[in-house]
Amino acid sequence: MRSDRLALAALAGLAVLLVVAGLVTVGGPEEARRQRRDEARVAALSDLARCMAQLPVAEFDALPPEMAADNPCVDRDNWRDAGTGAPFRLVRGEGGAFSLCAAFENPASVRRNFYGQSFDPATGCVTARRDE
Amino acid sequence: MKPNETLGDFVARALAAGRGRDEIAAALREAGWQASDIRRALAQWGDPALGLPVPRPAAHVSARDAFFYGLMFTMLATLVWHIDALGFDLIDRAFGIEDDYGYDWRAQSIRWSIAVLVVVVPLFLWLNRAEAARLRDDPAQTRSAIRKWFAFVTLYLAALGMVGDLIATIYALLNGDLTVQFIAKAALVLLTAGLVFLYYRGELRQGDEV
Repeated sequence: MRSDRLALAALAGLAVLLVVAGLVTVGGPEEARRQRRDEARVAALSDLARCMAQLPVAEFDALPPEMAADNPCVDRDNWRDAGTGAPFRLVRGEGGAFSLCAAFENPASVRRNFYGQSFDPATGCVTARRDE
Repeated sequence: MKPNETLGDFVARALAAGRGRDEIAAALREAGWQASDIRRALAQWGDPALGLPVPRPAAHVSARDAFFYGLMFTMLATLVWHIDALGFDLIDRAFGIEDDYGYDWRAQSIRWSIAVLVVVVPLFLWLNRAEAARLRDDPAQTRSAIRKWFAFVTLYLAALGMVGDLIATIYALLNGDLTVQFIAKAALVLLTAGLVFLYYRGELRQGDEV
């Protein structure tokens, strides 16, 4: 085979190999939709957590373990999972720490650290801290 | 009239007058013409037939060639860019390089490169096949000036890519940044630039053989 034909075949082969590897890595359309839903969940948890970290102590202490529409930090419908409708859960920790949790479809693919908070894929919770 | 047109005209008249090529070349050298100019001028004309020097085929330019080879060049550049982009993303993923963004932008980048390659690779291969068929049917097409220009520009960019890649690698070594991840990326760039160089070098040689 001429060198130019060989080079062209190698280039095309490399492209095919990388496309296959890419599809194996990121999955197909359904995986992309799952990822988008999880990103929306973590964004909602993060927004809520950022607001709740600034709430006055009395308002924060009065919050129930499950988010509701009357939560002072709620904006539109961000107190519950857009896909399942299940309310996000509040878990209080020690020393001002608290977590907001949801059920994720693929928690391993969600980013871990952002906006000064952290996401734990094992629990599906975004953890933040109040300034007390 | 441009000097080289005058030169070509002189060579034609000298050949028509029955002068030999060596005699014509010597006269031109004495007049101060460079060897490469003399060679090109003599190559424009075949030996006299019908009592006249016969013009040899020359390079030509056409809008169709500009479209066709321009499209091939663009497709190849896109193909190579996204092979490297996709490769870089997969290498970063394999080495666990993550960013502190709220969303997985790398997954989107990978999907975009996949989409581009799925379209561009078959299109480029089809264009290449169409070009090969065209050249088989009409070997005069190898004289297309646009074809040669695009090929040499591609060779130039591929050569720059390889040189730049080697420089970056040595710099990373000296800077203490030569990680396995870097080597993998540099190897990918060298491979794609090298394959493009080999491909076009072979293409141009094919044109010279026809």
